[in-house]
Order: sequence, then structure tokens, then C-alpha cells
Amino acid sequence: MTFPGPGDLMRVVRESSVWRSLFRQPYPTTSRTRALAVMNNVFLHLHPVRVKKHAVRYTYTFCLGGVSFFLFLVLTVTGVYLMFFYVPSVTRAYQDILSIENSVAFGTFVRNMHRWGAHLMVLTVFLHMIRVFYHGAYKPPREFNWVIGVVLLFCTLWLSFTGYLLPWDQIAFWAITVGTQMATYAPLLSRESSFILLGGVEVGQGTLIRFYVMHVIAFPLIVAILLVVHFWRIRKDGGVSGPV
Amino acid sequence: MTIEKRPNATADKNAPTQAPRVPAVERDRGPKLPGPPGVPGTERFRLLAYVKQESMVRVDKRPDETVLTWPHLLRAEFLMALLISVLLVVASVFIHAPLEEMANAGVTPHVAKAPWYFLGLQELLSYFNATVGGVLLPTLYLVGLAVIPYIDRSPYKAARDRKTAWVFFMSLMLGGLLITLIGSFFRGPGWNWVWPWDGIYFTL
Repeated sequence: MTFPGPGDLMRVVRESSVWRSLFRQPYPTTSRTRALAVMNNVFLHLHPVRVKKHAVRYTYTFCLGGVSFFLFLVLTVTGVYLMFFYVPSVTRAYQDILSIENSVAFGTFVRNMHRWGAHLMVLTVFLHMIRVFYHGAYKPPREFNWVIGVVLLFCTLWLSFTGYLLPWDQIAFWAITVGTQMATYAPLLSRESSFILLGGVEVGQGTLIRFYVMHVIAFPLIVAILLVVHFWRIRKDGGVSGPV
Repeated sequence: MTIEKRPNATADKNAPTQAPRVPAVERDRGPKLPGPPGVPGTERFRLLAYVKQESMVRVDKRPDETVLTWPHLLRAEFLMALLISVLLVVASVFIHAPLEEMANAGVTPHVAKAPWYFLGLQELLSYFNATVGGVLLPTLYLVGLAVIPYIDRSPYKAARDRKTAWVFFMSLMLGGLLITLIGSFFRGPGWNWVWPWDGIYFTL
């Protein structure tokens, strides 16, 4: 008599109607099933089924766009975690950061990850732009995707800048004070632009809630929409440019 | 060696197709010389090109320039995501995000610096008046970046074929990097010049 082993268990699971409703095909091992795996999966179908050979070389793109997108995802996840413990009020914000550091499980770790990820993302987005320029990948038909990229660069900077204020410590307060002062030098609109930006004449509660809303919902949404367009246009313009 | 067979233009179209075929290259005599026009079995040939062959079979097969996304691209993406994750986890375990005392509008710190990516801008502000350095130049910078594809209309893509554009762009980038570095590590209280070994006023 033989006892059922782990292989038999896997077979039973794989043949169950639940498994087959989740994965509509076996593990892809042939060209056909590999193509289907990419086409039939909502997350994977962002990719074409086949890509140019040079485009998967690390030294062609250095994965900079992909890394920027990955960091955006990391920042979304860590950011949502931090949002559970943070109230954007001038009396509570700093205390909340202290309690994230001291009493929230993995609080310090997640906050560190959010901050270093954010700095790294600013860097990778810049490097991505330089890489794209180097390969002339903004040439027709990709002109407008470059424009979207520049807007995304601006959004990245803006997301980082608005997040910089949220800890409400001296670094944050004075960095934002210095940074937003530049807007008050705008010709003709100095008073208005300062008010729109700060929600007052100086950095205060009005600024904190504005920056918070822009940081956690408005700009992430804008970036997500622009990313969809950015990726879509890469596909429609024939994938990663080159080889040059 | 690729040899294209060109039927004799003057050959009778109704001639029986069973006319004896002559091999493209006769093994010992090389390409056949053109025969008199109109005579079946004496087709003319022209030599088109020498093709360097990778193997003995299927000379006309075009090299496949693509690979399957699964697994080639997905593996690259996964490995890169893994690398960045490890990097971030290690950094987050060992390096702590800065946090100072609670914000106080009444206490001005010795050095008030913007976040690092704006320090180039802050450095510019010390050269020009506020409207030019703080608003016009950064706006020009962003708009200038956005319109690059509409200004640079040369069809060349490789950097070696468009040195002017590349030098111009890299000067802007390196210029930006230079003033960012100056603003980050060479500026202290009152935005005065401070050598890094005399003190670093920089927070990430």
C-alpha cells in the first residue's frame, strides 16, 4: 500500500475547480502558454507578449523607469501604512511621528523606507530622463510621451516636497518655508500664489492640510493616471526605443 | 552566396514549364553565363550579394530580434525589484530618517535649506534676483525640458550622431548637479561659503 505524498496533494489542488478558476492554464512552459500567460493576466498584459531583445539588456535601460515605478508602488504601500497613525494637525503631527518611531510596530522601519524610497525615486526619475535623452527616445513618434515624462518628473518633485512638510519638525518647517518663498517671487501673482500654496501668509495649519491632501491623494492619483498613459504610449509607439 | 534567378524577359510565356531547370550554381563551374535570349534552359542570373552565414542551413531566415516577455522581461523586472527591495530594507534598518524638534516658527535655525533637489534652485537665488532665480529660471528649465522633442528635429538617435544636443543637455544636467552640490555641501549659515571639512549643513 502506498501513502499519498506531497505530489499527490499538489495534483489534487491543481485539479480542483477552485485552482482552475484562478489559473485558467497550467504553468506556462511553451511559447504558446507563455504568450497566453502575459495576455490573460491583467497585471502582466501591461507588457507586450514579445519584447525587443536589446530592451531586456540591463545596460540598455538600467531599468530606471521600471525602478521608478517600483519605488512608486513601495511608497504607496508604506505611505498607506503611515497614514493609519498620522493626523495632519499642527498640534498632533509631530507627536504622531514620535509615536510612529517609538510605539508603532515596524513604525521606524516603514518611515525610513518611505523616506529613502522617496529620495531614491527623485534620483531614478532624473536618471531615467537622462537615459531616455541619451538614446534619443523622445524622437517621433515618442515626443508627447517625453512631455508626459517631464510632467511626471515635476509631480515626483512635488510629491517629495509636500511629503517633506508632514513630520512637522524644524527641518520640515524651514525647508518648506524656504521652498515656498520662491513662489512668492512670482511676478504679478506673488500674494495670490503664496496664499494658494500656503493657505495663509506663512507655513501653518492651512499649509499642512493642503500639503497632506496633495501628498496622499491628489498627486498620487494624477501620477497614477499619467503613468497609465505613459506606459500605454510606450506600447503603442512600439515598445522601448532603439536599438541605436 | 545568394543568387536570384531572373527569368529571361523575352522567353515565351506559353513555353512548357517542364523545361529542364539549370541549377543556380553549378558545382564545378560557378554561375552560368547568360545564354542566347529566348532559348529555354539558358536563363540568366545575376549575383546580388554575399551573405555571411551563421550556419549551413536557412540562409534567408531573418534573425529573431524579439524574446518572450515571459520569462525574459519578467525575470529582469523581478530581479531588479528584488535588488531595490534589499537595498531599501538594508538602508531602512541601518539609517534613520532625520527628525528634529517640533516645528517652531519663532526659532530660526542657523541654516534654512530646502530639500536637496531644490538646493540648486536656492543656490541660483543667491546669484540672481528673486523673480529671475526663483521663478523664471526654474519655469524655463521645466518648459525647456518639455519642448525638447519639438526643437530637436534631427532624425538621428545615437548620441554620437548628435553631439551638439548631447553636450548641450549634459551641460544643463551637470550644471544643475554642480549648483546642487554647492548648495548642499558648500553653503552654511547665512548661505555663506563653507568648506565641507569645516562643517556640513545638509539633511536628507
